[in-house]
Amino acid sequence: MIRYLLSRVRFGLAVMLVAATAGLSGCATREQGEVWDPLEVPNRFMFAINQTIDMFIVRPITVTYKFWVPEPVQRGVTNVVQNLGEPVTAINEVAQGEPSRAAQTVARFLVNTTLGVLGIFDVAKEFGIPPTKEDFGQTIAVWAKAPPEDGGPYLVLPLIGPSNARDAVGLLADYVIDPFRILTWQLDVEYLMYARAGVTLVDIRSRTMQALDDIEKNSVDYYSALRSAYTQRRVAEIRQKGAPQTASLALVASGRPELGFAR
Amino acid sequence: MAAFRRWVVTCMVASAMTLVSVVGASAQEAAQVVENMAAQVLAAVKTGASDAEREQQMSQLFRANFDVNAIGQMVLGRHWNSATPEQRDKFMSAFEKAEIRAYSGRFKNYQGQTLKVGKVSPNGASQLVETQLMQPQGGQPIRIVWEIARGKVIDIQVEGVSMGMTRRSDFNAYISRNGLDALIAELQKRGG
Repeated sequence: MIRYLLSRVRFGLAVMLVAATAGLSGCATREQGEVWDPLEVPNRFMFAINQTIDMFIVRPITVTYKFWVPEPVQRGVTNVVQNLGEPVTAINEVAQGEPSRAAQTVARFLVNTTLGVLGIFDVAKEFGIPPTKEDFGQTIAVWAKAPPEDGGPYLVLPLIGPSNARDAVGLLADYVIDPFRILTWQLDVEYLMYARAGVTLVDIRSRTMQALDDIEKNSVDYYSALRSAYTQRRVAEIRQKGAPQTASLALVASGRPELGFAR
Repeated sequence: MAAFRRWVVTCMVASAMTLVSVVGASAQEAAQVVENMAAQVLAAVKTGASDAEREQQMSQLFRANFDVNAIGQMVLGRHWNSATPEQRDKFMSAFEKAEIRAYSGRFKNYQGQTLKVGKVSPNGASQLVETQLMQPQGGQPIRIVWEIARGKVIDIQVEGVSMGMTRRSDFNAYISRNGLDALIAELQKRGG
C-alpha cells in the first residue's frame, strides 16, 4: 500500500494517537453497536479527499487493470503481494504467541519464493499450508485483551482510508519491522518499495472494488456504512485468529453431508 | 426409592433426547431454508430474464424468505420506538422495496457462483448457517453466514460484516442529520 510513502508523516500522527488513546479511551458513551468516532468532522473531510483521489486516479487505474490484465496474471500479482507480506505475518504470529503458525508462514514463504517463482504461484497452498494474515493492529488487540470492537477513536487516514488508533499504530509498526523495507534500505534500492506500494494499492483496490461499490450504492450515508463495515471486518479478523479469509471454514459438520446446490 | 430414581433418570434422558432432536431439527431446517433459497435464486438468475422480470422474481423470493419486519425494526434501532405508526408503515414498505432493488442488482452480474452450505450453530433464539460462495475458476470463496429465526432470514454476514448492523449505522447517521422522514423519502426514491 501507499502506507510506505506516508510513513514519516504517520510517525508524528501515531505518537499523537497513542497519547489520545491513552487519555480518551473509555470515557465516552456510545450507542450499542456504533463506532466511537470523536474526530468525525476531520474524518469526513479526509474521507472526501480520499474519495476524490480514488475517483480520479486510483479507481480508473484499477478498472483498467481489471479489464485488461488476464485473470491468471492478476492472481499472480495477488500472490506476489501476499508472499512479500509473509515475513511481517510471521513476526506478528510470534508476537501473538503462535509459534507453530509462524513456522507454517515461514515455510510458506520459503516454498513459494523458490518453487513458486518469487511468490507468483501459491505452491504451499497446494501442499496443504493455507495462507494466514496477521498485522500489528491485530497483535495490539491480542496484547491489550480489550474487546476487538474497541480500537480507540475511528480514523480516516490519507489514501489508506478507514482505520482507528489501534490499526494506525499497527500499520506503522508493520512498516518498521518489515524485513523487506529494511533490506531495500540497506541495499539502497528504495524504489523497489515504491513499486511494491503501487502494485499493492492496485491489487487491494481491485479485490475490494465489488464490495465497496455495493456498500456505496446501497447506503444513504456511505461514510457511516463504511465505518461500521470496517470495524466489523476487523473484529472478525481478530476473533478468528489465524484463519485465512475463508479457507478454514468447516464445510462438513458432524453428520451433515456437504451440499452444493449447483452442478 | 430405586424405582423413583430410575424414573427420574429416564425422564432426564428422555427430555435431553427431545432437546437434542429439537435443536437438531431446527438446525436442519435452518440449513434447508438457505439451500432452498439458494436453489430458487439460482433458478431465477439462470433463466436469463430481463431486469424487470428478475426484479419481480427476486421480490417474491425476498418476501418469502426474509423476515422483513424483524430486519426493518432492527436496522431502525432506537428510532423505531420513537417513530409514529404511520412512519413505521411508510418506512417498512420503502425499506423493503429498496432492499429488493439492492438484492436483484447484486445478481445482475452472475458468473456461475455456487453456494456451499456448511455447519449450523445455535445463536440464542436463532440459528447461524455457515456457507461459502464459491467463485468460478478457483477464485477465493466468500464466507457468508445466514441468521435464521422462525424459518426466515433475519441477517446476513458477509466476511464477518453484518448487513443489518451496517445498515443500522448507515440509517442512524442519516436520521441524526436529516430526520426519519427524509430517510423514508430517500428510500422511496431509491426503491422506485
